[in-house]
Amino acid sequence: MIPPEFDYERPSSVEAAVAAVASYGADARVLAGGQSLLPLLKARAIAPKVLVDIGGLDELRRIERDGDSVTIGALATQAEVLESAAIGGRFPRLRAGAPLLGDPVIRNRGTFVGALAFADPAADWTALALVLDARLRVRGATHDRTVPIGEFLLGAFTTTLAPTEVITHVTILLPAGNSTLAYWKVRHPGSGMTLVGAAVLLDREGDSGDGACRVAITGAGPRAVRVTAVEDALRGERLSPEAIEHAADRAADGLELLSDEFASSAYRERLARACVRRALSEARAA
Amino acid sequence: MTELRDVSLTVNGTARRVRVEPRRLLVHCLRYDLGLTGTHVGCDTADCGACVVLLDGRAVKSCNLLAVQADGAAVSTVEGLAHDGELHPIQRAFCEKHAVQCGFCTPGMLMLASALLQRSPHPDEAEIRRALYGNLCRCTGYEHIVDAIRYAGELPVETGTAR
Amino acid sequence: MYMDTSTQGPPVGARLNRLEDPDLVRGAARFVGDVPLPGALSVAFVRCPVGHARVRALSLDRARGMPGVVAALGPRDLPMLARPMPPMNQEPNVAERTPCPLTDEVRCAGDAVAVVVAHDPYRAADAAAAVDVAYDELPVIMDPRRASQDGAPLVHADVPNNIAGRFRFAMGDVDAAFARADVTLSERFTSAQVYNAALEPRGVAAWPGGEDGVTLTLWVSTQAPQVVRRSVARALGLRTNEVRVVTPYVGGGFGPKGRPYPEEIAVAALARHLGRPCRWEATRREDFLTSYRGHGLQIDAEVAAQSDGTLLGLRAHILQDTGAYLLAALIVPQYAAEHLVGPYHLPAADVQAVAVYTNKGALSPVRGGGREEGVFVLERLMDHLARRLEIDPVELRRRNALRAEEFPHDTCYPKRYGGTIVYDSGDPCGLLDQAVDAIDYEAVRRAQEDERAAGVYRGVAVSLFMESTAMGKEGARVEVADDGAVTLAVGSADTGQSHRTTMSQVCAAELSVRPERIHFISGDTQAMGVGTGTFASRFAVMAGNATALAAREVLQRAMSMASELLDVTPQALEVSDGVFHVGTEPDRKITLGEVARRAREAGVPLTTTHVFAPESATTYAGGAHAAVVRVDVETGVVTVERYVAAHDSGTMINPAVLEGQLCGGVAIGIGEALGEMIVCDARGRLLTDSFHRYVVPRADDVPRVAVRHHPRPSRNNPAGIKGVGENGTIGAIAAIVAAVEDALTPLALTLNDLPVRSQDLAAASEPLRERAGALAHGGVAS
Repeated sequence: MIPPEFDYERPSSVEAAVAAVASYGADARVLAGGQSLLPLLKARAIAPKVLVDIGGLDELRRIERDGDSVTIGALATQAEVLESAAIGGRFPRLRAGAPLLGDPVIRNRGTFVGALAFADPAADWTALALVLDARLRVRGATHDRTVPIGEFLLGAFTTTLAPTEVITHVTILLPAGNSTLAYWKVRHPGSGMTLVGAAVLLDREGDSGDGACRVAITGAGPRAVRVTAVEDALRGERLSPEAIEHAADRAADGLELLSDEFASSAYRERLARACVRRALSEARAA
Repeated sequence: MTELRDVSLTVNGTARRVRVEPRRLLVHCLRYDLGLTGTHVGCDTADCGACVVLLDGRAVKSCNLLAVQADGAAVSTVEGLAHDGELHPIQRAFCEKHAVQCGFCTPGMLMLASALLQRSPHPDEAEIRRALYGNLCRCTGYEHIVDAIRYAGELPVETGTAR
Repeated sequence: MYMDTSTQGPPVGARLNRLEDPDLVRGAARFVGDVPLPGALSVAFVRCPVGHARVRALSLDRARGMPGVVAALGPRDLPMLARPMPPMNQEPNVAERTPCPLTDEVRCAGDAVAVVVAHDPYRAADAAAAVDVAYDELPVIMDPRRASQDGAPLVHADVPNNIAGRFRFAMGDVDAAFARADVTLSERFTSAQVYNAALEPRGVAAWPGGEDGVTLTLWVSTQAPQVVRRSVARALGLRTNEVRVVTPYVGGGFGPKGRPYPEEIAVAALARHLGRPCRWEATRREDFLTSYRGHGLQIDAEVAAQSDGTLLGLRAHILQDTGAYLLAALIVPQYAAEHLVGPYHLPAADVQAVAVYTNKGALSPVRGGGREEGVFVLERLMDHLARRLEIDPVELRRRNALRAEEFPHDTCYPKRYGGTIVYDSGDPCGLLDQAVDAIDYEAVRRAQEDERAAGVYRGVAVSLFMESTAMGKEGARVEVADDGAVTLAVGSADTGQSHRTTMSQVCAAELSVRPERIHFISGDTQAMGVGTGTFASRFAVMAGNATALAAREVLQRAMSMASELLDVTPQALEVSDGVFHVGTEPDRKITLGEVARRAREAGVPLTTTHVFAPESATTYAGGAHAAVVRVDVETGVVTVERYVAAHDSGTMINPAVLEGQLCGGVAIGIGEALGEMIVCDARGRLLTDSFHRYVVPRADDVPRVAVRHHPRPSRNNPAGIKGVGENGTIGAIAAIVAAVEDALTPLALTLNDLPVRSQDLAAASEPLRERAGALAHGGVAS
């Protein structure tokens, strides 16, 4: 399969990139790693007049830690995120088990920011970004804004990003020192990729306040979401197996469930509960 | 037609310059423009890994990359694995362990494996199988490929390493 | 060089490194897309997305006006493009309908309605996208059971009730068997259509020229170049010997590349029409749409037995969904029917089959070719019977299985074209013992109760089968040049089976030369015109014997000439590494090359062709497979933990090649048992059109396969060879499904439908959820 024709620009500064994207609007697409964009182009599912390749903007490649804050630039690949001291070093088992997160070869080109912007309803990265409370920095010609990932994701492949805007980076506020991050997923029978996955960030300090436990689910519905029903059920609770069981039973509460030829909504609902319970158990055991 | 672009690549250690449409896929640049037909197109959707090459040392799916994106980069393909006629240890291992049947997935498997061994010289079976997640083979059932990669990790490196 | 191919001992039976590999690992092997063809044009087809439609309007103007476009054609623009492909089987009482290269009446999604030719693939893709087509959609018929009922939409207007053909095999008194049975079981089995998923999509290149009277040369990614040659020659009105088909390296086939395709005719016709070489390489989506498909069976089967488990009789009705066209006659249901008798004493059987057209992609054999489904049904019935009678499934098989001393064994079960199925050699009981022993069956069984109490659902099962391998005919030509170089040419194409290696081993063994000294050609109709195709587990049997017999004749002639030249009796001669010498006087010698030169000068070149075409080439391989699986009862995810394949493939040419065939076959069987399925919607559109929707097993989905060799040489061919290509798949589907069912024994499930789906297992396992125990599928935590 072969992409349709398009013009190509490779701006040499973030400002130039933002200006180009702002002026082309819906006629342009931003090209970073291209791992989600290229398949769409090849299938001729989209036909932008111009691609604005931000691949030359090395300043967007950085992964930097400043205190509890980590900045991940728009060009940082998923592999680089997993290898980074700031993320991979902080959550070493995420790195060790990293093959669960997408295709390892795609990770070498695919960017962390791009995976969020693509908003695949079954992406692994969106669930992780949700529990890490990632905030996207978005720039337009005359404005910039910061948007939390939970507000950014609107539905399957749709976000609040305007065609005239560029995401320059994502900021994550690292949780307290003793927190653990767990991810559990079941593979899609058609694609072998993710069918349903659950991410859990658990504060181990015994702090029972807000944010003590964050839970997100991907793949069950049109977008990855935080599961507040589970978080609420665990608030102030000791994380016993019984409490986990009880909370996980609420994993599908309020979820909008997808159904297709490969997996019914009932199955996705079952998997949402299973994945949440197992991710919670993993986080607790870690 | 859109404006053609000049792209400079270092392919298997040799500087190459091509003039391509912006939409030219890297795999087609290698196959059509540079005549390196060892890199294959198996699926079009970045699922199968038959097109895996190394871009600045990292395994990438060359069907899922524009040639213009690789401008200035070093590309390693299966044709560059052997040195002065001597097979790379991973090539020898694939031969000795019967890791090849139809051979269509083989170039991508070899490139993936060479990158894996660079990073992790003695991978265990589980690590190899996870690393092969994005490389499909329909002939072998993977067992002999896994064996070959383990075996290559134990072979003396006589012929340099994948660049 | 990386390898020393000087083998210890005789070449046949040696674990020789593959002679194909040096080119393949260097990226120097040329597949059809790699064949240099200066000035070749690129071909792209425009395909209908729905299952049944008439083209209301086709406009090629926009495409024709695009840069780089040489031609854009519809079915009316070139007469041979609108004619159905030549029927290749023409069996009596079978309504054989074939696809057209281009059509204005679409019968399945993927039928081509127009074609464009351009200077390069990019321009061709653009032009294909610029062809404007309007369709009138027609009622589709997707359900084979409904297709044969009155009033169903017709796929072909002249085929009443969509019935392509029927047959019936019967032996013994089945009614009496059922009347006196202590127990009878009746079950329905179904299988979804499956995709071969060869890593190389199909492709064709054509050059309107050639040498030695050839006017059209084709390079085709095919398993059967001789069949493609006949198909193209007949379609274009050429003599067969005007057409040459060459198979370059082929990236897997697994059955569907063993049949002719309309694109071969289209690309050949375009090359002749335009007077330029043309090439078409399928996109993966096109390959999904148009490659012929496997499975699609519904089988109602009943079995009758005594209370001690002794089988008395079997009845079955096979309903075969052939899709929109018939490319492989009734081969698939026929193999399914033939494999319902199995490795058991079965005194009576009555099997009927009907094949019906639907608006799906057309059927062909896919690795197993129906055998795997016959084995699946029979082995499932054995498991169900064992459960009913409360006999261990291994024990039930042992009570009924044939013993080594009973071979050859006439099953008395008729074959479709006369005669009965006679198993030439085998040892099912011995195979079963090997598999049971290697999987440590009793230990897995013993642990089950405790494991279940702990929420671990692990199952173990076996499958036992006889497999019909080989058919047709195959030619081999052996030629010795003046320098002693040996050329071996065989007919059918290699698609990964190691033809060069194995046939060189056979030839080398006969001639006492080193295998790597043999110049090997296969899949080139100019070098060898006789070949049926690399499928039906037939190549090693057919070409192996043809090669051995041709080489033997060459050696005998060379020996006789050498004895004259050295003035000794042939009995006094010894031969090694291409040199004849007198046994008692090692210095009296002559090289094979020198003999060849003298033979050529004498006007009788040292070359011979042998066509191996026995009246019945079929020989029966055997296998016993055993699997241990674990089912996560909450998610329904099945993990195959251990696998054993004990096999009887007769005389082994190269055990490492056999093991590769078995491992690969098992992986396909696991995929087909646990998830692979083609899905269409109500309009006949294909939903599984990429590896995003139809994935084949990945490296971490399959276990290691422990292979146990248990060879019983064939009695039906001089070399003693049996086929092995399909053994892995045939045994795996039955064993895996049975092991899943066994893991879930507390639920008493009956798993008769392929594939077994995780979501169904999860739903059925609801009663076990309370007891769900340890985690099963790996997680990540930091």
